[in-house]
Amino acid sequence: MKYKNLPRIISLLALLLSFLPTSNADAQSEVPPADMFQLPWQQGEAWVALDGLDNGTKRPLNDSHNYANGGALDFTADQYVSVGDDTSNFWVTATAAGTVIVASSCHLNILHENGWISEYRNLGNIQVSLGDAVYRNQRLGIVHNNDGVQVCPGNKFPYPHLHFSLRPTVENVTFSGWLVNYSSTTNITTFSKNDQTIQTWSFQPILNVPDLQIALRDPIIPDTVYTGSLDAYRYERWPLTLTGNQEFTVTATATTSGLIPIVVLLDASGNEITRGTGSLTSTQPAGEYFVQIQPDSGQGFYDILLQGGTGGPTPTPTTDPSVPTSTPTTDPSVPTPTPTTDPSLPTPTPTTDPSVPTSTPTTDPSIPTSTPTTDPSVPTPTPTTDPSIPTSTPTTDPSVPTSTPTTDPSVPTSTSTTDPSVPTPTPTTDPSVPTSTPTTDPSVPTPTPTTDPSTPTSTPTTDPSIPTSTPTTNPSIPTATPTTDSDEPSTTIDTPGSVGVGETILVTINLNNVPPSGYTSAEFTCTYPPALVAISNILVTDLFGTDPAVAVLGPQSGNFIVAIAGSNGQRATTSGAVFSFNVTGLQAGQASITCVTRVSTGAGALIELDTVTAVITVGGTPAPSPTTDPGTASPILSGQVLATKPVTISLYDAGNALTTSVIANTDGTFGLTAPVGIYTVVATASGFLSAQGPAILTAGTTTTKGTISLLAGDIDGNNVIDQYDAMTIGMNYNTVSPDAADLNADGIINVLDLEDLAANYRASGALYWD
Amino acid sequence: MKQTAILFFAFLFILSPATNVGAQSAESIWLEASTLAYKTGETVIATVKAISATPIQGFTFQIRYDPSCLQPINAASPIQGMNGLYLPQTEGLVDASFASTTPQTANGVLAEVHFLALAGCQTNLTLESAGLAIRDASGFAAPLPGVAIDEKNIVLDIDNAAGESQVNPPLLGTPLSLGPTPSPTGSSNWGTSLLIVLVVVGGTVGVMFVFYKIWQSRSANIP
Repeated sequence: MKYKNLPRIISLLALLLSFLPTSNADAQSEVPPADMFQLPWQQGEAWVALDGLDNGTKRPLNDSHNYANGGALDFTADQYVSVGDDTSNFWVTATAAGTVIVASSCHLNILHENGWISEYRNLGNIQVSLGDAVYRNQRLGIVHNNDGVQVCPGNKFPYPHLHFSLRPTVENVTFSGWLVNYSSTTNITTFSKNDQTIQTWSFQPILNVPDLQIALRDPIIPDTVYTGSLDAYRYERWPLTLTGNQEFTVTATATTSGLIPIVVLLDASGNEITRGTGSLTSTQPAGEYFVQIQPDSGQGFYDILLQGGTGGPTPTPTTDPSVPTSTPTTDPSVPTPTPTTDPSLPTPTPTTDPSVPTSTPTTDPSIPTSTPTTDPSVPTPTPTTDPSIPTSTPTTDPSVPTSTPTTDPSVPTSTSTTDPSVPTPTPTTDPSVPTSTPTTDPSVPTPTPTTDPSTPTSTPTTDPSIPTSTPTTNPSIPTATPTTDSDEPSTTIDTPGSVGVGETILVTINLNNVPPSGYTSAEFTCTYPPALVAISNILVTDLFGTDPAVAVLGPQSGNFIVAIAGSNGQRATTSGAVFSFNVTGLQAGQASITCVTRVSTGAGALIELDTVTAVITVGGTPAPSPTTDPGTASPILSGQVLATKPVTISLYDAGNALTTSVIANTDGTFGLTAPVGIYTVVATASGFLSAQGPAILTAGTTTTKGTISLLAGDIDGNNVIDQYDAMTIGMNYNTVSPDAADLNADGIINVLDLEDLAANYRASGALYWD
Repeated sequence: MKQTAILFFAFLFILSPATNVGAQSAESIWLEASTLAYKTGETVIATVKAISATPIQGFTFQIRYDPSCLQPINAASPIQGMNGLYLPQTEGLVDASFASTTPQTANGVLAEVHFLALAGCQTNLTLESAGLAIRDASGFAAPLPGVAIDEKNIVLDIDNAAGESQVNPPLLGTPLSLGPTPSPTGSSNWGTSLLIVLVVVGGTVGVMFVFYKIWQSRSANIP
């Protein structure tokens, strides 16, 4: 009897101790990497945000939406969806790789790296089970249509929607580049990315296009199987150390259906040496390397195995030695992965079985190492996918090395999420036809090349990716790809065909033979030779309806991606121009612009449509500049000024008289000419402190000023960022005028502008520009 | 006699606002404190007041204080629609600005500022600068000209003796934090810390209780 209360006391103690914070403490104090999480629906699609965080005015204090509890977000794929509607395509996906730690009939919790936990509620048709390892963008379930049931406890909003939360907090976390902002003062939640800010309940589409994530993994050692995961926007790099001139084979075997991994060998600086689909064999001198695994198509888990390369001592890790190298077979991004135990997944090919020809003969020295996947002489590795599903790889001309993707690992490859349930367009490329415009019907007369073959093109600098032997005379490569007479959906590029150095032309991308059911979204991954042309002013048409969701990555390093999704259920249902951009000639040569098109029909997957290429002749004669007197060869002043608003560069002479001024390019670069002399150059932008410095221009030379960032906040232009600038924001809150107060140029004056100002508060100008 | 007294006080009451206004300029700002003596740990309240014939859409003030004596907590304006603008603070100077999207009448309290009395000292609060702001035709905040700063200084006497545990008096209006950059998770961290302390203390007491009961039972079994 004396001990009758002892169990109760112990239980109480245990209960109290259970409240002690555990491993989440680390995560609480940090914001996850910006590229760690994507939005909780399929990549390439746009949903809208309903409710956001709350400070207790709308919901009880213990509600998961309350910011003090970490907050929650409600999303829906269609703002007009009602109870009982078809939501079978409203696929909810994992925001990052992890392990399912809670699973019920309506909700899932997934544990991610560093203790972050994502929660998804109001689900139906759940695809995963407790303990499953999941990869980023993996389908978890659909949004339940709430027909006749209260799907999840606590779901008070009747319309079908996803209730999503992240713990410890969703606040200040970035999902696919969208930063979740919340002000407990105004009780407003916004999503901001680049210069766009979207508020909850505004029904503006939020496009799920993550920035490319290149995850650095542990060093690999021979004969050990490691596990990783990929998606269209996630590559993984494994450090590799070779101690001698050794032959080795790296094999990446997909363990998820549909994934075809590419193995790329990079040097220590990240430059590509060679690549192979599924595996590669190479012999390299001693040194530090990376093995990069990226998807050719599909997404999911893979196993990587290094064989050979054991001529010397065991390679030492090339990365931070503090990174534990033990337990190498586990993916650190997946806390407790068990990918190969899921009976729903096909058993991966045993990577240690020597009978499996995992080492495809890609080391044939006769084969250009940069494009081994397109060489028909190279046997295709054993596919892990249904062979009946056409793969999309042979879209490029084997004779023409692809323009840049082999040299820039920072750009995702274009193919990934081919949905087997959706009819994939028949590949239109005949490998035997050496053309880079596979959608063009060979039976249709190709247009006359815009360049007169009789006129030798001056090509002082040519794109190394293009054969130098007058490629424009090749009738198989039209400079403007016409609309085909086929009924197949396709993409074409309209271009004038030539541009002078310093001149700018307009290039248009068209979608043709759009099916009556239309496309909900499209993604164009384009490459260009940055040494020959510059791309700018990418503008999207209204083919996807008014106010579509648009994401543009780049242009940078010869690549850019344009993703477009119709908002409010709008689709592209007719053929026509989908977007345009400016091409400015930089140096004479043949510039090949290639775009890979993927579209979604709303079935929850992006389907590769085709690959198109246009060749633009960049003229050898520089276009005459109206400000340049060729007789005197005026000096040039160039530089770069960074600001989120347009920057004006003005040149003042010794008498403080304005000599000339230009508006800098969108990336802040500028160039202007002026007579020889000593000047003061001034950079100004509306709402920013100006910068100024000396500029001495001498004959025939280009003077380059250092890159400078202007400070945001001087709204009234009095050369000091003070309280009155802040009050201008407060007096014009949630309006658009005066423009100078919209410091981040997102079209509205709000707390984000105040934050920009606060970062530079009390600063005064003008800034000295060295 | 009684009626005369009532009439006298009524007359004084009617005149009192006018007398107060007459003490100030046409447009003026000044600093007040209803209490000048505090104990350590108590909340010191300073009030910034103004009168203005012109409706304003913003105001700003800067109060110099001794950081060894006082620690600013927050400020708020009772004027409807006048919202605080969070700006970085520097030690020793409260820098507060408020703005409204619509013109507001400013006759009386502009804002209340709360400080924590840190230690025994005699210290000054000085209204270093202040201004009323209007929105000009282009939409920019502009200082209202001709605003005088009247009473600038308050002398506070803080007793070294600790005051009674005091709940921070409520502010009129939305508080503007005057501390470091506010952390939305700060309150939950504070709550977590408190919970940890409670759990540790409770656990210790519980364990001691268990041992005590065991000891008691063993003692009872001693023949």
